[in-house]
Amino acid sequence: MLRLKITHTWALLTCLMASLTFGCGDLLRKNGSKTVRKNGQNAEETVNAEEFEGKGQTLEELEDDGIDEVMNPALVDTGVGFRNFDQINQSYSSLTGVPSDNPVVAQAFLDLRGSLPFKPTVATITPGQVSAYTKLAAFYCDEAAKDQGLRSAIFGNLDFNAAPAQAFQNPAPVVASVVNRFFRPDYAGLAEAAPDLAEIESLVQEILVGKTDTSAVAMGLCTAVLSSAGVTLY
Amino acid sequence: MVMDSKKLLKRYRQVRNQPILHQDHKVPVTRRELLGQGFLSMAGALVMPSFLNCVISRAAYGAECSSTGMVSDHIPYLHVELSGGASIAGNFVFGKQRDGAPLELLGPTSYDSLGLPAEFHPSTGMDMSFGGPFVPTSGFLAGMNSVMSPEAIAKTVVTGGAGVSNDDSRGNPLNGSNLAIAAVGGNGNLVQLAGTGAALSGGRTRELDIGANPALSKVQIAQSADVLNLVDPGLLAERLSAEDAAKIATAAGKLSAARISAFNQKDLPAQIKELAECGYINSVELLTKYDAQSLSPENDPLVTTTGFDLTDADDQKVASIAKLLTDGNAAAGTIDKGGYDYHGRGRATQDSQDFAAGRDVGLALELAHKKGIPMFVGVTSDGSVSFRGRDAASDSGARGSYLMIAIGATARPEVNSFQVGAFSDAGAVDTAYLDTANAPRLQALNIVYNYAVFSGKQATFEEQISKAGVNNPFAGKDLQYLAFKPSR
Repeated sequence: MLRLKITHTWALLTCLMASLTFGCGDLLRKNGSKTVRKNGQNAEETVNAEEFEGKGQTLEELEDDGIDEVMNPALVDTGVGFRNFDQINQSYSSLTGVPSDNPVVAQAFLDLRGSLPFKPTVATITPGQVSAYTKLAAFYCDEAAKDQGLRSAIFGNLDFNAAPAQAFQNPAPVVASVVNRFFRPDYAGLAEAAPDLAEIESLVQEILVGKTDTSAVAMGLCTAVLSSAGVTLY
Repeated sequence: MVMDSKKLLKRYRQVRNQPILHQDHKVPVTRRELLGQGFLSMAGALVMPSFLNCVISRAAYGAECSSTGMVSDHIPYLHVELSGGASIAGNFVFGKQRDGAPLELLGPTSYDSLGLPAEFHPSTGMDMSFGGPFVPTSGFLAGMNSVMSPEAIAKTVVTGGAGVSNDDSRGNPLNGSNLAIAAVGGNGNLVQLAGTGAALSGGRTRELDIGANPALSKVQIAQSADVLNLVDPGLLAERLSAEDAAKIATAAGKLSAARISAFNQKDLPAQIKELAECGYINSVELLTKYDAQSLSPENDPLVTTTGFDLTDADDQKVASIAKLLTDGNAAAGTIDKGGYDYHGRGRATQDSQDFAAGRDVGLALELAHKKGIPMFVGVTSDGSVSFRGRDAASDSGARGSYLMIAIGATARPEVNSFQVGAFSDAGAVDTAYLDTANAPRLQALNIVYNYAVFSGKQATFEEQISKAGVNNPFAGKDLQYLAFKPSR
């Protein structure tokens, strides 16, 4: 567990530092899955019994999923991985600016922790785990969208006091702000970003219909980007 | 001796989380050791959909996720792992007969090392209420009887297989749940495999390598609420709507597809990219296809009128898996139970552990009975024990065995025999007899083979193992390896 905490703290610190210069998605991608996997395996072999007695959930998460025994290791050790439960929590916190000890997100993390990935193995990601990414992202985004101080860093000049149809009349600036925050600072300006931008703008137009709460629509937009593989995969 | 069900269940619940410390074992430090020695009960989360074979057409994203979706004539498969080396042969009577012959009991003292000294020798009496021969004082039998109705018992048959496995090791490839799904073309509406553990098998035991498929859709469940959480859109539905939640998940999936495809082949092979995309695609399915309330065991009167104690964590897991299986929402399930490294802990502890295992199996079978569907159950353990008198004294994988249990839709399934393999007068597995005797891998394959034949899917079984480069080692040897007859 100590190692995991170190990993978690390191992810937070590096992400905070990196957010000053470039996106956390890129940064955390460099802190590859191999480290985490090695930590997990070491924990399996060295864990103190007392520390884990009665905490079966934690130990279950440490369990080897057996995939190495049936798949070509070259396919498993890809050098790319999905962020584990602690990593994604800290990534979401760093990217949105919502502290991970915010009571709302902290409770959401506790509720969803067991549904989030423990191991980074891409081949074993489950829809339930992806769904948990999305649900946790929604809480971070909701808190961020409701916070006067955090809004502008994510949503730019979006007018939260306006009705959704008016606030998102031209969604391009807010979409660009969100992807630049979550993917990388210059992402919206890249030619390769065009399909993503179009997809998100289309989403916004769909979910704002009949809505009166701009922060809810902003939360939805934020969740789609934050829970996507641009953040969850490194 | 009449087993007191209430006492056994109470004792089981008292001791299930207590560690077992054996002087001849090293202090448990790994998860597998902790589980086997009872530091952990069946604590794992039941598996959540690892929809690597997935539900939605991937046409919109340009990839192919295979579908779940119930096959109408599918017989669900349940695998129960007893971690630590249970005394299955001290519960179910094994003889030394070969080639499908009637039961031939071992010698007068041969059952001593199985915990059945002279006064308990099977010649003094056996319980045949499940077709196959049970030791009348069996805790496993008492557990089944405690929760099964006479009607369900009358439709159930229990058979056994003799086979050595390694003691206290998750490395025994004894769980063939992945192959079982493929071997009968099985699917579930929601997931393919539901289990209490995180391994590919859905438990803790190593999955049989033949037919192992990381791409199966899986759900890991620690409590019944996990099934509901799986399909609950959460805050998105609260702040927007369930439809919007699906749209948001769909958009995230499309953004992800682009990001995943951007990795080069070296960093992320195409096969793995597809699996990752399936995870996103099918997360949308979870949010749109199911009504959470219909998945809840607590809302199912057929569950609540069965003997489940839905306030108990273990029973919640069993109820969740049994309901998923019997509703067609999962094709196969694994229940991983800890605490079966029980030697040195006294007869009462062993009986309560065996009782709990039999009770779990009985609960699943009773629910299948109430829903009018057949079900097949495999029970395995990593190793076994030898006895001094009535007390389990030490590990002894040489006395290993497994159970194959089935309930028919309307009547007890027909069998060729009640035993695969044999024991010898030494009170251990007759390793000179069948190929399965000393090979856990073949024991798992044998369980799946019997399941496939019972399901009327022998051809599919052979096709699937052929894909894995394996010829059916049991072909043409029905007398030796095939306990079950086709049910259809």
